Amino acid sequence: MKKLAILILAVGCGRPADKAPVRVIRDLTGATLEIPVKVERIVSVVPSATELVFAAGAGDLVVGVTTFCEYPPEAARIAKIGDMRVNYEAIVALKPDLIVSANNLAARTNDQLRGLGLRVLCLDPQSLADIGLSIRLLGEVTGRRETAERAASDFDRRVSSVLERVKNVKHRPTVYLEASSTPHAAAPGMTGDEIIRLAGGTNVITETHAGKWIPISWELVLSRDPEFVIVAHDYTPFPWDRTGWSGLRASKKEKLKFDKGEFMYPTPRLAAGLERLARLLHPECFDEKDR
Amino acid sequence: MKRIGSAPALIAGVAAIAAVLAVSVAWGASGWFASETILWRLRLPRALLAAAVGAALATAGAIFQGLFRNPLADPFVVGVSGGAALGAVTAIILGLTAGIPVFAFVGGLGAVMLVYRLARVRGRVPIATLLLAGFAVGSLASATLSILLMTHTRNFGDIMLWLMGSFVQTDAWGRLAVMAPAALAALAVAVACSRDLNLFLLGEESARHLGVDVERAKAILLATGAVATAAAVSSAGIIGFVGLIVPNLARALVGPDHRRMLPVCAVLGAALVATADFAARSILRGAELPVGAITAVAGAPFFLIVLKRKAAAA
Repeated sequence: MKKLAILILAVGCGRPADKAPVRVIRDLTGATLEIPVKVERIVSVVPSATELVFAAGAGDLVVGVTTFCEYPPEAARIAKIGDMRVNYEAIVALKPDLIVSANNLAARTNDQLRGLGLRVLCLDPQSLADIGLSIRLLGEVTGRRETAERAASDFDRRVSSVLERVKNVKHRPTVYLEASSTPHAAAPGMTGDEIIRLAGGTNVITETHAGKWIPISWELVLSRDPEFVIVAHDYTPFPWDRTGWSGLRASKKEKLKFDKGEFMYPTPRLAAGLERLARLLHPECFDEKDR
Repeated sequence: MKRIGSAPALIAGVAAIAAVLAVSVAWGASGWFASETILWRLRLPRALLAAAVGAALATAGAIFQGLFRNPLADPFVVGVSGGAALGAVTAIILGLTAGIPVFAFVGGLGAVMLVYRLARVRGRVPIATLLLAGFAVGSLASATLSILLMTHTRNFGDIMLWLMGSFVQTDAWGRLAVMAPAALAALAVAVACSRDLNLFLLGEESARHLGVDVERAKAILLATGAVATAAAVSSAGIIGFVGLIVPNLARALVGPDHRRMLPVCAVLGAALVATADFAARSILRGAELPVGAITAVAGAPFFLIVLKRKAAAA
């Protein structure tokens, strides 16, 4: 398939990126990348990158996404180029002048795409602070600087507003945030862990190896008896279906199921997740009207 | 390797099980001892379930090795694992996680029944045909599984955990209620058929001449091994290697006579899987490694040592 794709490139349409004038930009890691002066056709191979491009106001330039790209809803209507395994031929056929991706999720895919002569911009926000920076970078890349700046500063303002409200809390409630039924938990190094901390909570999962998607021991969760148990996935069994749930402090509260898009992936929706969690943990820090 | 009597082997095995159970109940992710819920509703049933699964897999392995006259046979040769995996993955993909055990059990037994039907020629089931049909159905199932894995990447983590075998589950007492009787029944039937199994070692024709109703014995033993395996797989996913090495180990310890070898085999299997599961939940504190990976990583070198000693003694 790779050979076929190269063939199409060679005889079919040529390599538009080579003809168009280019400029050099720097990504968040400081690496330099050559991109067309005018980016017109973007293919995203990672759902969070899709969301970031839309946030930057450049959603209309996106011509290909993965089947996992369901947010924003407009993204779901764009041509599909595969899931975790992309179809290189489909990508090349879309004649993109820029691929948006992530190093941590798609390193091999990125290498393949570069081998096909495509330009790959990686967005790997490591923290909430990086999200605003990523949106601004995309605004710069796509020429949508104003929209991107508005979105980025709106995101940064929402985050800092929460931080301001919870900065003096005395009690930081313990939280167990479940990312899948296996069970996997938000653990150090994962986005959900940062959200818990910023919302004025304490993650009960402190084991660093848990961040590598190793299933967490349910016994550990029971023994740490978190004040809040939050589910950010759709797969049974949920914590309230498991042995020992009724003995937890959290079982006395309502069952909390939050949108995983607001907790698990590095996108601007994290601001909503952060607000939701902070309101839950510290209702006293928010006015009646914004509850 | 020097042979020992089956009584000392049994006593040592039972002592090992008791020790593993005690440690498994006493220690866990939350430290030494813990709340009653953790001790009696998480740790104890899980350790007992692991022991029952180990006994069932080892017994099934011994049955299939005897039936096929091949020390390389394991409980998965006749397609049980492939069929069960397909059933379980279907349940995971459909979002019916509570239905995994039932789907896996039905898939595993369904595959064996298919294999048996395919291998049956004019009222007879030649062993070679049975093996080939098992291989073909197993391959078909695993290929289908690969395609499902590729197309349903969302459930990848759950599927992998199941495929590698794991006792991470909520209702261990409930599964034990099915698993323990299945393991005991399989052992009882196998021991009752141990004369037939012994005669099978001489070859099918010789067994027939010595008065064994070969086709009937084959059907009974195949069904027993398949039910024990399907029950084990539906309880904990695919735990490899136990059904292969434990019967060989038991044979090395007490000799090939199935009357003595089968009980030792069941006890050793129980001790091995219970130990492996304790390791699986203790190696990385607070995290769960797949128990199937532990049995393979620890079992393979151990098995090689036994083989080497046996070869040296011969």
